[in-house]
Amino acid sequence: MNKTLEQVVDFMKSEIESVSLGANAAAEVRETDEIIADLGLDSLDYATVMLRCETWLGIKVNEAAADWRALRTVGQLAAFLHSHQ
Amino acid sequence: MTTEYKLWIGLPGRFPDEVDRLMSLLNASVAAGESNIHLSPERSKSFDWICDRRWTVHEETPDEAGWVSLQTSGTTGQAKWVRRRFDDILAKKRGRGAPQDRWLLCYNPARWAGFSVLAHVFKTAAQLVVPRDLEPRSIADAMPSATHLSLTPSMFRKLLLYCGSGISAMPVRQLTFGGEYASQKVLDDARKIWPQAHITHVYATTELGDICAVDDGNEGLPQHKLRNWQITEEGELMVDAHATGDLWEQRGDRLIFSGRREEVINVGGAKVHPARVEAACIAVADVVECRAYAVKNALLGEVVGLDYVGSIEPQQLRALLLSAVPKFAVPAKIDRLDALPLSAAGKILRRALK
Repeated sequence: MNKTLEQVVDFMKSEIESVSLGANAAAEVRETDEIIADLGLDSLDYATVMLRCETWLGIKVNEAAADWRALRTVGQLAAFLHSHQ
Repeated sequence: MTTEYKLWIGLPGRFPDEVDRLMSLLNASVAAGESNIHLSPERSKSFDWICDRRWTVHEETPDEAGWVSLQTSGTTGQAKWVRRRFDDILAKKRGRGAPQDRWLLCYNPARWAGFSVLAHVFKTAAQLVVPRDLEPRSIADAMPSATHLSLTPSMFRKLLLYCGSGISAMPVRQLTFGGEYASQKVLDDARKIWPQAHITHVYATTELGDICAVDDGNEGLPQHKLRNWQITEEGELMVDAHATGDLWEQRGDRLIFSGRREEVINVGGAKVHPARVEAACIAVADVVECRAYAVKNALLGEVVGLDYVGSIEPQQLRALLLSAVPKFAVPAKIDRLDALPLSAAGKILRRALK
């Protein structure tokens, strides 16, 4: 059964907290936060969060489908992954 | 006795700091025993943003004159020296260039990819733009000063993330991809962002240097551009009887990349040997056995995955590994299992769980 967008956002926030070793508390992460610029994650952290979400959703994102310029915020990435279920 | 070459470096704005950064990167590699290149400061003239440096190729014996040696992890994970004559490196540089070209340094200049950029800048008397450091954010900040980029496809994707739609405004005239396979998606995205730029992707190995440069906008290697090559039964490309470690398949008149022969994991251009990650796991934590492998990733090409048997929690293991291995070698996917699958010979199956 597909997850709702809200569920994807909440899961992503918890993974961001985990990957950042608690530096970004899930409750304080906003959907409008840029994952790298605002939350201070690097590209490997970003890739880790994305991979964990893919695993949880049971999907695999193809490089061809990703426009990285438009996947900078928590909300944007969550919506993208949600749409690939 | 040393052989001296001149290297013109053009730097915007903060010129003394940036030259010092370039020197620091190179000299640090010498101090770490990773290269034999020394950059000696000697300014003969300077404008706002151009300085003249003498580039000294250090030699230990007279026979070493003109040789450049840099360390590489190669395909086996064991560091080794690769030596080439500086003049041979220059002779192989066939790209065109002009003094007004401003190449952005996106690689460590003490590694062959970065040194290749320096050599090209040197040969064409172009200019070099040196970022604060080699983090994507710093490279993005330096981009407005550059007209020519040489970078990996993963760095390109990271810059898209960092810069967003503003990246189209960067004055890029030449884009050269290397270090990883450039997919058709990467080439098409680059073309959409900079329709006026000349886009090239280069296939090279540390041992052989540049093998093929392609600028027709399509992924893969045109067969007519290769010399003395063959594909083995296993699909490995051999060039000049040298095994590249890369697997390619023939499609029409092109070769398309299909993977690595060895288990080396290519995380955005950084090579990770699974054995090193596994050794670190066992050294830092209560891990009985483990297996590191490549996981395909849309952003970085590949990231490290890890399966292990042990009592430690995955999150705790990751935290320990952050202090034990380079960040790019830290597994992005960690799964604790009851047991790892074995082959009939009793060896841990490396590909079964990929």
